[in-house]
Amino acid sequence: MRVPDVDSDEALFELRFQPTVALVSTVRRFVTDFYREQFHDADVSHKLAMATHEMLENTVHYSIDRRSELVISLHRVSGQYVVTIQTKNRATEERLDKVRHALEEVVSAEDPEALYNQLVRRAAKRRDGGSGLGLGRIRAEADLALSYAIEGDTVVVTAEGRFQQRLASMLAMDS
Amino acid sequence: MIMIDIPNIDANDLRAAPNYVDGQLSLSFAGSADSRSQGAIETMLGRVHTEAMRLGVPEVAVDFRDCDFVNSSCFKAFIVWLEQIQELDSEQQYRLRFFSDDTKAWQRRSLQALSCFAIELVHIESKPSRGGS
Repeated sequence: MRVPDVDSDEALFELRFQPTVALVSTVRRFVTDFYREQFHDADVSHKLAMATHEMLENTVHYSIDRRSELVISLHRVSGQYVVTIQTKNRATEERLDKVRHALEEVVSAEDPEALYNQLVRRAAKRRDGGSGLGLGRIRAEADLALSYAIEGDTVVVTAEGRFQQRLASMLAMDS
Repeated sequence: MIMIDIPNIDANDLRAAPNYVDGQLSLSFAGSADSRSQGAIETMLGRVHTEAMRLGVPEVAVDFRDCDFVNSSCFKAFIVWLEQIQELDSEQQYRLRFFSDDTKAWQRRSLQALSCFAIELVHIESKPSRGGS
């Protein structure tokens, strides 16, 4: 098996806190700057910040003890950055069942855009206050793959994708 | 002068204002829309729907160009609005024209889902940013 060309962790960001919706937005603004500093690309920064926001908001709404963990890591592999965004929170058994069902549908979708359009149609009929769109939006709009694990009463959601850092010559053309 | 009864939003990082000039009803959004703004957006769009029907406008313009972020809960408010329009008799229906900033690719990407939901009602138009940057 060929060993990938892994340079090392280029950046790692970990946060354990009791988030509120307001704090999630504060974190989104911070990570937007963090991603922009790494990629020099406003669109990539927005995709990753959007994914971070949606994942963290899920933990706010569904954490049993109001605690959440967020880990963002960047590795350089063969000239690209592999970005991993991971959230972790505890949830009730009933919530875990719903989360498992929602995640399984999104993770296994062969066509993320088609699934997202289906979730949009479903959202139009939902009257329980939720949208059910966040995870599908991450796959459809942020170019990130999703995976999950449920360990006891803890759900770990991971989003991962590869992104190219913009070259200095392109940045010079923008300025 | 015809008055409109639509509330502004100016809280939690989001500003939104309605405008009615020369028979054209429009909304402009600026800042970031997260779950804290969901209720205010739902209330505003509900009022816009009522006023659009009262005024009999063929179209409502929604300017997103100064928006930096819209979370999925707030997007749902627009989906529900579109469904309310779809449920009207065809002669009562009006269209939504969204203006996106051509330097913010996410806006067009996110709005595209609304277009897929109601292709006959949604038009997306990319324009230069209002700041000219």
